[in-house]
Amino acid sequence: MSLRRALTVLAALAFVACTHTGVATEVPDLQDMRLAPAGEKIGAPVEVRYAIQGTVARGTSTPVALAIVPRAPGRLQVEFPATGNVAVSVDKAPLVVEKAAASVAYRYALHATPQGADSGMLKVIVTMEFGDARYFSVFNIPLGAATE
Amino acid sequence: MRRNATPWNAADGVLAACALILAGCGGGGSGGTPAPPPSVTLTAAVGSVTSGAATTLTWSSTHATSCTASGAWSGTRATAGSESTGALTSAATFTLTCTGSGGSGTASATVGITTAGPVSVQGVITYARVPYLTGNGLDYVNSRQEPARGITVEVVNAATQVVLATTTTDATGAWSVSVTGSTNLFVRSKAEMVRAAPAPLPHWRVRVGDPQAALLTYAHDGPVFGSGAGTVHDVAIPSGWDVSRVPVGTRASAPFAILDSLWRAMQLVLSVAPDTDFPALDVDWSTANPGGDTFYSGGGQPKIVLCGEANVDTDEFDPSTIIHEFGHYIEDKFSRSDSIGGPHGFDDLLDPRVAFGEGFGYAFAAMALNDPVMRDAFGNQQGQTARFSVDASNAQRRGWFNESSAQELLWDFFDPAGEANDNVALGFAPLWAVLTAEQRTTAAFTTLFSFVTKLKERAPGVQPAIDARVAAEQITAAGMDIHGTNETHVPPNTAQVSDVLPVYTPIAIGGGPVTLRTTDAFDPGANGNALSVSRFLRFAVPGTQNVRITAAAALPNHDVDIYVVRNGVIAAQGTTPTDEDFTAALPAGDYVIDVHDCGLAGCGNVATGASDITVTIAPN
Repeated sequence: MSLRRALTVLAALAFVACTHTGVATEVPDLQDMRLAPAGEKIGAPVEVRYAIQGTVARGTSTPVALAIVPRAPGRLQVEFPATGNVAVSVDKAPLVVEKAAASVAYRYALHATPQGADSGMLKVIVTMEFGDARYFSVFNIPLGAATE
Repeated sequence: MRRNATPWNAADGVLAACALILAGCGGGGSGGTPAPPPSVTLTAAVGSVTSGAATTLTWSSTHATSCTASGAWSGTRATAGSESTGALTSAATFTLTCTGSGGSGTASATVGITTAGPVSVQGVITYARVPYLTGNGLDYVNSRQEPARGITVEVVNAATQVVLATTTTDATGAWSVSVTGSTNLFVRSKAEMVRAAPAPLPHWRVRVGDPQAALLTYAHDGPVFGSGAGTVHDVAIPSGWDVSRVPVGTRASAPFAILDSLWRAMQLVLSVAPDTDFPALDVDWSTANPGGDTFYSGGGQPKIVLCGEANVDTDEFDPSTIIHEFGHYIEDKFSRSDSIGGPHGFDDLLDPRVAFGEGFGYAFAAMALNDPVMRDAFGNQQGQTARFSVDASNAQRRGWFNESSAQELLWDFFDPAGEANDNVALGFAPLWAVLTAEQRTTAAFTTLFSFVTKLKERAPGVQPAIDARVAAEQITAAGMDIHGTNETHVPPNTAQVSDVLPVYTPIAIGGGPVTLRTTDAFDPGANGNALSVSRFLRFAVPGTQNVRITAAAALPNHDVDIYVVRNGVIAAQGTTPTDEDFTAALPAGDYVIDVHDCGLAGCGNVATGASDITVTIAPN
């Protein structure tokens, strides 16, 4: 494990949710998952889809299914930045895929715990590398607006 | 960072002016808890006195066992006390160094000499810029002060808050004004660049603020000093970050770093158009602006919005990102942009209007910085850097629909020749000429076709070299016109060529129906700005004429929208929730049409799959 990857994993573990529900969740079909909006900077050529699989409440851990689908093959890295609004634990890595393929869904099972009065925004940073070039996109997943 | 409206506390100001509190530099002993370093405070009762008068110095320290005076006084002092300066006839700086088992600490206070008449006050303003590490992320350890160029400086009476003088820093950050003597002052550095009448052209007004906080312009207030003659009052605006990548105070230098990137970009324009009158531009930056959401908005007051979200995406030290957005402003205000905007990723297959606009933004940034490598810091503790080169990308799906092709072509037209397929070295002047003339008024939509066609006409001597470079991007160069009439290239895996070509389908008034296919095949992210989500038509109106225009989807209950455009201006449109059928009086001219299918749920969405749309234009 590279130092960078180790630090990324440690950062994710540092935000382990405080009250996991422990409820087993199904892996949703891709077409049943919502598209997370990206910003307008040139970004990583990926789609991020998500499904919130529980009731969102402050201080309560909610399962979130995430799928990242590259539009081009390259090195894929996923990061959940420490924003203070939402604590995130990742039930499954890899957070780095050295040779991600186009049109393949890389799935992640998360638990997100809103920390503030409102439901908060789960932020996902996806980075893709193509040789010397590296692009990133920030995806904002509104935890409060998409309870299913 | 203080906001303009915040009242200044005069007493606090004097203290701030006259005292420097510095932590000691010594290290602790070995083993056990190291002794803390001494801290020292030294203040003068007033910042300036008339010649021959005195003031009182007061000092205190912690963790110190002895103190030594130097500068305008000397000798051993107690660890706390006060005494008169004695009669002063010139500006004097008093320094006190206190020592303890944890090291030493130093503080200084300067007392100026006031004069009754006007005195010259001057200084240099710098802001902290955090550079990039060679590898990834921002290099907070090597943060450096750089001149704040062209910004507004106000010299303010500390007691009354009245602005006594206003000026502008020069290219070295230097400023100088004349003010009345015998006054306690401070320097306010405003995050704005203004040059207006009665000064001759060029003119501009750029400011950085936080609209959500009703703050038009950030400002930084320096320490209070007396308006004595002969002293220089430099201001160093801090970054607010420490070396461990944590914000430890107001990120005060951010607005000034943003301004300085824009200053560099303006120099590129001024190098070829020295009498430019830049329309007023606002920049919205704050630590609350969410990561990833950087954009330019040209509607109403032009505005650039930049990210400030720590640990996600901060833009203030990303010149190429800032200037990319300024490139959109340049295209919008001096040329013309028909881009519909929206999210876009590397190697995406884009609406050609979006591909040109986004490609131009990064090419312009590269030209302004004279560096083809674009960088953007992001991630936890700004520890990562996105980067790509506008000179050589790894794009696999090159063409008139790829922003990488647009940026690489524009950069290669500008930069020195000598690379493979690049024997063009035009500099910025002809690019600016086409942007501000033919591209501004083109009858087509603003794409690579409209730009390159006219650039070739302006540079006939290098047409073969331009054609070779264009052809290397998988774009048909021979016989190119503003509508891309001869274009033959489509993306890999295109189901049918007619899903993409022709770029513009001809249609005639009274010439019968024309059917086009829109598709989301190139739009997996459902962004609505991909290739063939909109299809284009073109037609001519020989003389002013009333026409009836219809646009109908083959699929039931779909929402077709249609825009009829003449020289970049919408002449008529149909945007009802269903098919379209409307009349319009059209002046003579060449027109283009954007027609698209919003799907079942109205615009803001894209039709799933393919949708055939039939358009007619009939005399009315």
